[in-house]
Amino acid sequence: MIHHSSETYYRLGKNLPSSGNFVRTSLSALSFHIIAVSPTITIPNTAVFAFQFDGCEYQPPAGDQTCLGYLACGQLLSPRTRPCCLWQQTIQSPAGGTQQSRFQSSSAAMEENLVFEDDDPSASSTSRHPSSPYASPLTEAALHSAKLAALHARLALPKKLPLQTMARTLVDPSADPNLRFNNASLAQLGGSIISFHVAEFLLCKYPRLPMAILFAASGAYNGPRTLAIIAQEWGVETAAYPGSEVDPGLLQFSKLKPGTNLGEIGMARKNTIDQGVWRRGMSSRVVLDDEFGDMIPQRRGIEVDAKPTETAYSNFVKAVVSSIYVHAGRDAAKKFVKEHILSRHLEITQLFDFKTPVQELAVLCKREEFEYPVARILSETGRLSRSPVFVVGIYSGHEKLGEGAAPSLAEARIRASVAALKAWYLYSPGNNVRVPSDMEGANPKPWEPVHIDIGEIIH
Amino acid sequence: MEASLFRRPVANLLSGRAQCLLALNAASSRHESSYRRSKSRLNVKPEPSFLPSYSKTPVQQDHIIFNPPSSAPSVLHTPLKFLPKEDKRKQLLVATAQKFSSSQMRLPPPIRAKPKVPHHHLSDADIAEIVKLKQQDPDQWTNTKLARKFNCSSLFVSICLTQCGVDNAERKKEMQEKFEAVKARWGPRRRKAKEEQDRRFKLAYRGD
Repeated sequence: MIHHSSETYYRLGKNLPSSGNFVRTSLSALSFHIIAVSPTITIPNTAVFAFQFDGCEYQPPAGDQTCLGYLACGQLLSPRTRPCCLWQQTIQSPAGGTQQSRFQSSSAAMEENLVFEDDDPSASSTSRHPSSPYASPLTEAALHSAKLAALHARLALPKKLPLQTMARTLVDPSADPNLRFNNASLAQLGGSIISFHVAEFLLCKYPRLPMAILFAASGAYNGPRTLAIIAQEWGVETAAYPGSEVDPGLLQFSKLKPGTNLGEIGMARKNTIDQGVWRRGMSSRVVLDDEFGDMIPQRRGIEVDAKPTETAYSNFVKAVVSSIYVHAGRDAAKKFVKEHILSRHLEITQLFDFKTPVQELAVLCKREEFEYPVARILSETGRLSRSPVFVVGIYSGHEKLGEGAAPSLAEARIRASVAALKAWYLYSPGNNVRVPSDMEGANPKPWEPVHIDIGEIIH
Repeated sequence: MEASLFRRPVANLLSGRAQCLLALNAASSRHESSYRRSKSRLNVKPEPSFLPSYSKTPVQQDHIIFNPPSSAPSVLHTPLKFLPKEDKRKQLLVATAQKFSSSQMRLPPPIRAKPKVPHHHLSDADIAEIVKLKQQDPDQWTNTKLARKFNCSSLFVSICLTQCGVDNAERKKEMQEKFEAVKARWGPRRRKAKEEQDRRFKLAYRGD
């Protein structure tokens, strides 16, 4: 399962042939999520121009109507309904320090502003542009945003879910740290709902999946990368810079500051090893790591998020699910998860990578009290030629367990064993298998217990 | 036309090429001598029942023809043995399997893989002997030779030795160096072939 290079990691961002809007698939997410190594990230080439500092932090993106008239925006903001957030600048300060060092030589005029920001974070409200006094758009602005209404309609969300909540789901904690205005709490709840439905679906549909494959499959269904792809398929765009003058229909979060030291971001696993927390095996992933078997960063507050766009997008999807749950109820949330996340196609047969399939199959047959598996030649052609083909079947007694074709007998035997093991692990009670949450509907049929396997093969 | 056809083999014979002797033998030529001829010869009329319903002479039939192209079976089709007892398909399939089992008694021939060795037949004294031999002369008594002497698998020998604390790191390193030296002598073709084989086996372990 460990086939990883920086190349595959970067390829994810592109639209692979199978990850388009029309064929919904999580394949591209897979190639990343089955891997538990820390990604290697190089520092991007960034340039910061002088105008980006002088009160012009917000560069309106294409199609953003807010840039057409700041006056209209000012009228919206005039009734002061919420306190101005003063803490945001503390998050930005480490990046500010590097900016300062970068610009000392190039622009002497810039120096004043940056030093001023660093020295006195409480004065950050004055450093904002006059048209953007708050960290995120006001609640009233949600009712006037065409983008937000279009998104609400496009997702066919229930009428009970108001546009104001919808606007709140688009504000990431990195844009507005105030818990009353960002989507942190909603994302926490939504993430739990999504992973509950994905987990019960996977466990009921494939009761024999090994733990590593279960981690990979759940990561492919509701990992951050997949959720980001889903949000992009919904047509959600990002704001260039968060602020109260931004259209509430745009996703608002703080992007990586220019000059951020990315060298330390990918070193989470190395750091833990240095600290003496040596991690090995699947059990430690089950106990200590997150729902996808990935390592939880140790110091959450201090560490810089290496992929702010992906995190913001995935938090947005989670927040949408929980806002449906909160406003329209459990059934609506389940339906939404089923339609948008569980409906995606996952090629689960391609997740496996065995080390010793022949031995593993022998152990399985011994455990289950089947006859010893024997490899038999079903057919062959060109044994003495340059490119022979052998078709080998693995038989236990009189029954064929698996079949494989290859140019050598050894390889064909491995392929046949792999096929047999996959057939064992991918046993499914059926396509329309019932999950426990089906019992929560009105007048459900009596529950039949699902198949529970005794566990994966250990040898 | 006729004359030239007859004359050609004779001319070839005179030119002294050995292969035309074979060409004279009618039984040895498996193909038509031109692409066009072999293609027209292979253009066999399909079975009338396979003709589509819109053809000029459709065959009236009231059953479904299922004739898929040959391909590897899907791993999503669980074999009967692998179905759990409580699965409803199990009873149905068992009944069907019993119906056809009598005719299916002859199995295809097995691969002649490594000969099967008996298990759990060695005593503690034997294992002590294995360890003693290995420690006396590790170069003479390799794992394979020990396995042959005691009629067990070399995997069992290696387990015995590692569990009895025989250190084979040095020998492993030596063998690795030897292999590296052999690899260094490989030419580009053999190296490429080996790399391709490695890649194929990697794919085989993934089942791709």
